[in-house]
Formats: sequence, structure tokens, C-alpha cells
Amino acid sequence: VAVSAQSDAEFTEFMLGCWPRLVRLGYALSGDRGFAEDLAQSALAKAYASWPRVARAGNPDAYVRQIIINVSRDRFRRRRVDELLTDSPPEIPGGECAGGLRGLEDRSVVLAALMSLPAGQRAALVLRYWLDLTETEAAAAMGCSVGNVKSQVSRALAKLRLNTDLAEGVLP
Amino acid sequence: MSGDELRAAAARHRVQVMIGTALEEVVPSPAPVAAVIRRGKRVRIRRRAVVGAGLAAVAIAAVFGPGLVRDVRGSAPPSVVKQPQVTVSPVGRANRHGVIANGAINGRPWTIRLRKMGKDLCLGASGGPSMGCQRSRDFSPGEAPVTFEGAGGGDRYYLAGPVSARVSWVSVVLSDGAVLRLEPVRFGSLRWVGVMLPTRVGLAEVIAYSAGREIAHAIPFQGTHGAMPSIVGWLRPGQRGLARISKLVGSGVSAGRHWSVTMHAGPWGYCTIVRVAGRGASQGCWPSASVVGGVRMSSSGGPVAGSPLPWWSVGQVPRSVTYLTFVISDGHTVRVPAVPVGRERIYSLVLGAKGLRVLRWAAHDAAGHTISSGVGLPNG
Repeated sequence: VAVSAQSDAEFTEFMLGCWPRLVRLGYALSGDRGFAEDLAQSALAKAYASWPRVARAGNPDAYVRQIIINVSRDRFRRRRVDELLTDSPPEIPGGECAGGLRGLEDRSVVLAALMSLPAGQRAALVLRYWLDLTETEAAAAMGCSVGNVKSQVSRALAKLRLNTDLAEGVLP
Repeated sequence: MSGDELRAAAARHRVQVMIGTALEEVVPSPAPVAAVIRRGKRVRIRRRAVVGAGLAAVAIAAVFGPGLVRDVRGSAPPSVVKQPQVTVSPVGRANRHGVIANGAINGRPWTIRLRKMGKDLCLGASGGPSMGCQRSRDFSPGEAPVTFEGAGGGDRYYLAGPVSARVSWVSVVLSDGAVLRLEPVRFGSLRWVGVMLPTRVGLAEVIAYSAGREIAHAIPFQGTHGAMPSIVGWLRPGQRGLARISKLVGSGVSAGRHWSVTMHAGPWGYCTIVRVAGRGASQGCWPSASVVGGVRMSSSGGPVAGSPLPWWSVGQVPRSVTYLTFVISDGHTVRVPAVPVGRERIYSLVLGAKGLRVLRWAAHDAAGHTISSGVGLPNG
């Protein structure tokens, strides 16, 4: 009982720490808040089922992240049409870019732009840029080659550059 | 690092900030720990059932008997779920020793106490990592129902402060749904409340009551993971406050480091997070009610702890202002946009080199006309 209680306490600590990040990852990959929370719950439940082994391996974060990436990838394979979901209509930035200041972004514009990308490009961009994975790590997570990750990121950035709602100078 | 590599790193950082800022607005519901653990146990049982069935099949094939199949349901581990449990206990006679609040987190006791140090009051806490002591000559309940001071470190932090005369008690609502009731305790001429919380459990709301009726509530801002919540703006009962909106109001490279300033408006008021690559972030907030006409310095400070940037400043200006110009002590003039966020426009300025200061400022409208100007910083 003591071991189980300790293990549950450790898992609880882990879950409280990573929950917002996992939901955001699920949302970034799927564009669907409800699905993102479901996804995070399922991934964490699987981690709990094998918690002693997952904890011993030393990187529970990566374990859960990988489940989320796999499930959302499979979901995209099943879906033909991506939904474009935003919480509110985009606001037009009224400021100017000058001096040492580079960009003015409205989160809804950014989210809409992100959600308009094909699933593979969005996943590559999120893994490389938001999660800061290396090309090799992103390729392993996505189950594709490093070259594929590079081209997906490059296409994603090219597409975002065409988006006139995104402030000039923000994108590389 | 070559110029190309630096440019690539800068571009990468900009996209990272852009995506990160957008995703920060996805606010998940409280972590459903108990539900996940229940679901995880079902997964575990199913896995064991599969293994058990495999073993049983082998056994049946070997001995032609069903007796070896285990009752996997009976072997499921006992259900013990341990959420971080925060309790607040009555202070009682400990108040004589300056204790204004005490309780426990997962059974580990904590105490918040006040001491007189000459003319100063010293607010300190025990039962967590060393938090030291905060001195202040100016503890005053002011207009707010509670004026919180706080400190933190490691896995817990505390909030404490004097309450106004009309407050009879304060409710603290945690992100996991738990509600803690804080009874004011007198020390000196003021009444005080305090609570210690684990950093992993968010603070959802603080409600002040007078004679059993809610008189005000505050939604704290918790910008970065593990950051202490900022409580600056109070709302009347039923008042919802500003709509939540986040916007990147400035970013750039100074002293070789990328920086960004994000403004988060919401029921808490206005909060800025200044991030400096590799050096962490700094958070500053002010209530929306403080914005009244004129160019107003709302938040200024810096540097971000350990940052090479000597100085940053963020301010609010009226809607008519579209940009500001600052004359810097090295002779340069810097023009910065006033970005619309919620009902206000916000500007941000970061100076990269040590020793630089702002000599003059001017606020302009879209046509370039000067609306107001002054020496130094606006209201600085």
C-alpha cells in the first residue's frame, strides 16, 4: 500500500506539472480543445498503467508526448478535411513595426495561421520550434526521415510567410 | 557563431515566441488526476487480463484444467490517490507570537508570521524552502480588500497581507477546486490573512466577504509555469472584468540576447511578461482601473534577473496614441508602436547597453501629431 501510495503521489506531481503543456501540445497538433484534453488524459492514463517502468526510464515527459503525437497523427490520417477553429475573430493589429521592435501578433491570428497548415507541416513546426526538438528527435517522434522534417518545416514557414495577417518581419 | 547562424537562431526564437504566446491562451481545465488514475487502473487491469488469459491458455493446454486462471480483478492494487492537500488551521493563541496563518501541505506544517523590526514589519514563513523575510514600512490595506505580499521558492509559495476593515473573511479557490477559508488575525493595528500553497496547484480565485456577503473577487494572473500569481485588480460581485487577450507587443535583440514582451489582459487587469532568452522571465501587473487618460507609465523595471539587459519599460497610453518616440542618451531616437491590447494601447522599450537612459519622450497620433511629450520617461 505504501509503495502504491508513493507511486500515486509521484504520478500526481508529474501530472499536475505537465497537464497544461500536454493539452497545449494536443491542441497545437489537432486544433480541437476537447480532443486535446481527451488525448492528454489517455496518454497520462497509459503512463499511469506502467508508471513504475515509465518513471524508472527517467523521461516520463517524452513517453507521454510520444503517445500524444502518435494518436494525433493517426487521427489526421483518418481525417480528410482539417477544421479551422478559432476562439474569436482575428483582430487587426493597428501598431507599426519600427526601431528595435519586430512584430505585432494577435494570438488568434497566429493560431488560425497555425491551424490552416496541413497536419504534417504543423506537427513538424510545433515539434521543432515550440518543443525545441532537434531535427533528429522530431523525425523520430513523427516516424519519418530528417529530410522530411526539414521540408515540412520549410513548407510550413513558406505558407505562413504568405499570410498577410502575420506581422512582417516576424517569420524567418 | 556565424552571422547566418545568429540570424537563424533569432528567427527560430521569434517563431517559438509567436507559437508559445498563441498557445498560452489555451487554458486547460483543472488536471483530472483522479479520473486519469481510475482510467490508468482500468488499462492496467486490461493488460493483466490479457497476460492472465495467455497464461491460462498455456496452463489449460498443459493440464486440461481451468484452475490456474487468476482473478485479475482481485489482484488490482488498492486505490490510494494523493492530491496535494492544503489545509489552513485556526491560529488560536499562536497569534501572540506573531503567527497570522498556519496549516499543512500534504501533512507538512507551515506557518506565516509577522515580527516587528524597529519601525518595520517583517513578514516571513516557515515550513517550506527558505523564503527569508520581507520588510515593508508601508503595509497598508489601502482600497483593496486584501493587499497581498508573497514570496516563494522550491515547490511552495506564500501569500499574505492586511485586509481592509470591512472584510470578515477571505476564500481562496484553488485550480483543483479546493476552497480554503482564511480568517483575518489581528497583529498591531491591522488584521491579516495568509496562506501557503504548492506551486503545482494554481490559484483560481480569491473572494473577499463581509458579514457573509461577497464584496469583491480577484482572478490572479499566473503567467509562467511555477510563477507566483499576481493579484492586483479586484472586481465587484458578478463583474467579469476584461476579456482575456494576449499579444506580443515587442521583441528584438539587445546585447546579443533575444527578448520579447507579451501583454496579457484579462480579469486580473494587465500583466506583462518580459522574456530574455536563456535568462528567464519577469512578470509585472497592474489593475485596469488605474488607466486614466494621458500617457501613463504603468509598469517599468528591469533587468530580468541575471539578464544582461540593463533596462526595460512597458507603459499604457490612450487609444489616440499610435506610436511614441524616445530620445536616448547616446543621441539616437527610438520609435516604438503603441499596440492595441483590450481597451488600451501598450508600448514597450528595451535598452540594450548599460548606462543608456531616456532623455525625452513624445506620444504621437496616426497623423504624426504630437499628443503629449515630456522629459525622462512618461510619468516615470
